[in-house]
Amino acid sequence: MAAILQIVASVGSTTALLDLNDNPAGILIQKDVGGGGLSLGDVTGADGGMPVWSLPDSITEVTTRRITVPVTLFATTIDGLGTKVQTLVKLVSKPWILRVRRSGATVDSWLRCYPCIPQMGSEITGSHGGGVVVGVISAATEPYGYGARVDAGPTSVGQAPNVSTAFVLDVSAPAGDAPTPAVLRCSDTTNLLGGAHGTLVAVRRSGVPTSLTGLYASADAGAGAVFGAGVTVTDPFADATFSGGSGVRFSFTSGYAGSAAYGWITYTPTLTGAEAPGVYKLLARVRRSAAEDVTFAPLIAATYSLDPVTFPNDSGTNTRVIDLGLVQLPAGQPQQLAAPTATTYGAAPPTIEVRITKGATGVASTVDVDWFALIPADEDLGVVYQSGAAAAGVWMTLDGYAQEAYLTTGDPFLAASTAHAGTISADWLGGIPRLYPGITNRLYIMAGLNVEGTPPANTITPAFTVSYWPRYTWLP
Amino acid sequence: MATMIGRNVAGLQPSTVLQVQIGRGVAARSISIPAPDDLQITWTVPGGDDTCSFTLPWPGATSARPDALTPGMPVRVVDCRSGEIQWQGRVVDPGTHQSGGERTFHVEAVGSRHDAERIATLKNYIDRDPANWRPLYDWKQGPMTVGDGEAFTASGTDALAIDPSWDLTFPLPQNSTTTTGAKAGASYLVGYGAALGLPNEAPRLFAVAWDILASVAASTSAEVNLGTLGAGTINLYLLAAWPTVQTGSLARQGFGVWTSTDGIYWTVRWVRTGGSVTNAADQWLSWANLITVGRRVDRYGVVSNRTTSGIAETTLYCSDVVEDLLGTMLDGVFVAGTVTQDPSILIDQACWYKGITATGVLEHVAGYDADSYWAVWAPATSSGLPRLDWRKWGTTARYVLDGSTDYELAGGADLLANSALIAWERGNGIPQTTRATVTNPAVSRMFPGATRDIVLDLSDRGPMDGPQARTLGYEALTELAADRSSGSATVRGTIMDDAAGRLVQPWEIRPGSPVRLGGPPQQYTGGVPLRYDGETTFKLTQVTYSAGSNAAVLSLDGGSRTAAKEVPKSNRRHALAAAHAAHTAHTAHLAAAARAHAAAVAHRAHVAHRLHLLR
Repeated sequence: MAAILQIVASVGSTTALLDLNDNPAGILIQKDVGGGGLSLGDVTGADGGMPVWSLPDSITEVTTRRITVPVTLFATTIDGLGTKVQTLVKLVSKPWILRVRRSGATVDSWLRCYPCIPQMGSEITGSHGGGVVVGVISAATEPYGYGARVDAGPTSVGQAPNVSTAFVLDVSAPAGDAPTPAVLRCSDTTNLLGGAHGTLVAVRRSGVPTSLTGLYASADAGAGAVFGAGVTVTDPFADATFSGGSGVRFSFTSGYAGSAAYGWITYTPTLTGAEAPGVYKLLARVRRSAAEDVTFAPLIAATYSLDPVTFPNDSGTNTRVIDLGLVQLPAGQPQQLAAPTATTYGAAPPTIEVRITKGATGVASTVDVDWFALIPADEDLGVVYQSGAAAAGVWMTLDGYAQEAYLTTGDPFLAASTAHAGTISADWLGGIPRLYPGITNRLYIMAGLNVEGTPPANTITPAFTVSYWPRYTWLP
Repeated sequence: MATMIGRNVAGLQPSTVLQVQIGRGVAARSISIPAPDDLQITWTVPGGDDTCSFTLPWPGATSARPDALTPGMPVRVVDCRSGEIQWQGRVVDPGTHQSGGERTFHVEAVGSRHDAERIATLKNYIDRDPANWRPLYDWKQGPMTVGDGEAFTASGTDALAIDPSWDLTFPLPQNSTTTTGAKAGASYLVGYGAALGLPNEAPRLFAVAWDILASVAASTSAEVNLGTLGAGTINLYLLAAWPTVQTGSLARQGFGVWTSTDGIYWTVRWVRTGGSVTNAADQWLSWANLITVGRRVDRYGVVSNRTTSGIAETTLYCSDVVEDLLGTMLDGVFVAGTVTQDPSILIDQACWYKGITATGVLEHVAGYDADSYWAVWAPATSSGLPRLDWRKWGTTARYVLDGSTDYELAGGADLLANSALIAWERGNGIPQTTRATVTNPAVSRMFPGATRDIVLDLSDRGPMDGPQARTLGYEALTELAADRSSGSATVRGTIMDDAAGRLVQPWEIRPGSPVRLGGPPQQYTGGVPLRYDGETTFKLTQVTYSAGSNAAVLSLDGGSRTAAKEVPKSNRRHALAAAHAAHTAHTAHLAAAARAHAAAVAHRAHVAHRLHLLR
């Protein structure tokens, strides 16, 4: 079977706007143009030198490339041939999409190409019924060829970590040979999109992501304690709205005099072994009974003090997840050995202590802690902040290509037209996950972050669809 | 070009990890781009997020400027690995360039802290300035004079116990007649004026303190009155007869008759209550130690003036001012980060009835505590406000720069000296020379048994005596001994952040902590106490990150060079007292610390200039 080489309207399209390997019935291509065929050789990598040696599964991305495409156009009339060349010039004079399938292959790929001017050969010959023109297009392209879109899901993502699949969305083994941006869509306006809050999205795509366990700990799995006057602890503290039904409560009396006295929880994550080295975001699900200044001061391995995190005084009393900063495993050391050891370098978890104080206000109040979590924060992680409740039918899309979040009135992949979804907005902060081919990528999706509004309950199970286009450094 | 995006810490490229977002939440359509190659970011201490610049190519020469590049639009630089905002500020110059069909924007942005420069109001935390007092009532036989305060000692209600350098004296001249009801006084007129123009912004008073003393007891009352907005005048103090020994008191809001929360100015006066009398000799009535304490709040807007004991009302810590800013001028602009209280440093003067910006207040406060700094850092969340820190430099190195770091140090040894040859002028105009020597360990080590001289020409400083000249010589030598080398270091790879216990990328390094050169690589320093020696230990005062080279240039300060260090806190009281003593009656402005500080700076600049000329 002949190779397919077409200009098409979009990635994934199989309808040719112009066939560059024209093969109408009755005419056979017999000529090998230039002896080279499709050349994708100018992929650059490594910046001219050796990449810095690092973890074995660090990922290298290429950023530019240039393709050289041989063009063979047929027409049944001479004028028709001219028209085809004119069409070609018009199509490639603006960003254009090239569909490529190697001869004999069964999988298509598409290249998004930048504008160029094709170089066409001219042969003045005698009169005949039609003609062939051959030429070459040399164009800069995006660094990768795309495969057809793959949709994974919709998959429900639980929000209570006493269930082992909580927060997790696995994307199994994308095709291709290079990391590819993900696009996440969600239309759960009942729960996830039903109020002002933040949703964290992160990815683990190195090592064996599905073997990464021990990220969560109920607060009462640690040791709650107090120091000084005016604060007491209840550990465990039963609460049906907490994951697993319990947490830890700190009660501050009206006579509490400020930060000299405090409550604290110390726990040691069970995260350990070969998958453990990395940087994690320490998160806690907490609640306070009064809108007061509550300060959380994490201390890692009894040595490293992270910056204290304070609840803003005006942000309500709902149970929400707050971001307590970044923790590296192993704490205070490099994450890998430089020596060429055969064994994998693992890490043991440090103790994590979180000290809780509040401003002295003369009001008795409580601070409750449901759980702690460590979410990988060294590949891609971000939070989408939504300013209010979305109307029914609204979709939220996290676009890994633009690194932006959108709220639209319909599914942007399906609806004929979608509109901006009213006055609420979505603000993405961070990196939308890229997926690595060949392994199961684990996405973490956690709702109810850092909010002043209405975080959803931890019983929700919003469904997300993850879409991606496999990327190929060469061709599939 | 290859870039690494894996779960690794080496070889990360800013273009795949850092993202610049412009106009988020404000622009009709915001722009998010991978870090441009010419992205450059600076962070400074004091200050925090400082500047950010980058070039943004933009297609379509004929199209309008993108809304996101309107001056004032928010700019943030985000680390896509963790979602942490590395820098936040605003576009100040979109830098529109068009050449041929190519359009680019050379965007310049400044950090959030600059918002504090555009917020101004009137502020009074504590005021000891006689210039804010004006005569009240015109008793022509003896108009008010500003005296030298010699007759008074420090106020018992003054937390700083500053020896008074001024007083308000009302003479009763010989042969003048004080009729019944005659009166004269002084008004804290700045407060009154503020309320006329900006009644809502006029600083509210919280406490006032005074001392009185007369040369002769007389049937004349001493009165202190408080002027309020809407609650009339409140008589805070009425003593039937002036005492001939220093007597003082303090009144504060919420105690006794002072129930109004709208006190804005106060007056002091004497009133003849006895019969008409002709003064047989020159007599006087004086007020001194007039201290005005403004009402201040904490970050939540709750009044935070101290009321626990009589001496506490005049106590003002640096952190009190920072808290008040967060609760007033900066409310809704910044949120509190780490605000550290240091009860060992008291502010004696912080009052601006002519208006002051929030930045001006912070800079004033920073002049009191060389070991603390203020900084505004990017918020932790998308909708959060930038965080204002007032914190100590700390006593452990946060970063240890290893052998892979390039660094350059400069200065330190060129003026190594232990002796000063001083030229000065005697009171009778005779030029004279003398010598001052100090022990400098560095000189003793490098030049055993030798003296290393500087020449100090003080002949244009007016008449002085030998001890004074030598004192100035000692000062110059001490300063030189403290002048340590400074420089810069370039970090190209990851470095251990000993505060957070993790390896950080060049763009994650922040100023505001000690840094060590030449330690074992990536080693935790274990809390070993340090001192800034200009050889291995420095203050990290600025970080400049360039995406093109993916390197951070660290500005290293060997110590003792910052202006804030001019008056060490242990000497502050002493310096203030000396400054006060130096003032004479006709220049009776209270020598606020700011002025003492300015004088010290000017003096040192002068010395340095001289040294330069003579080298």
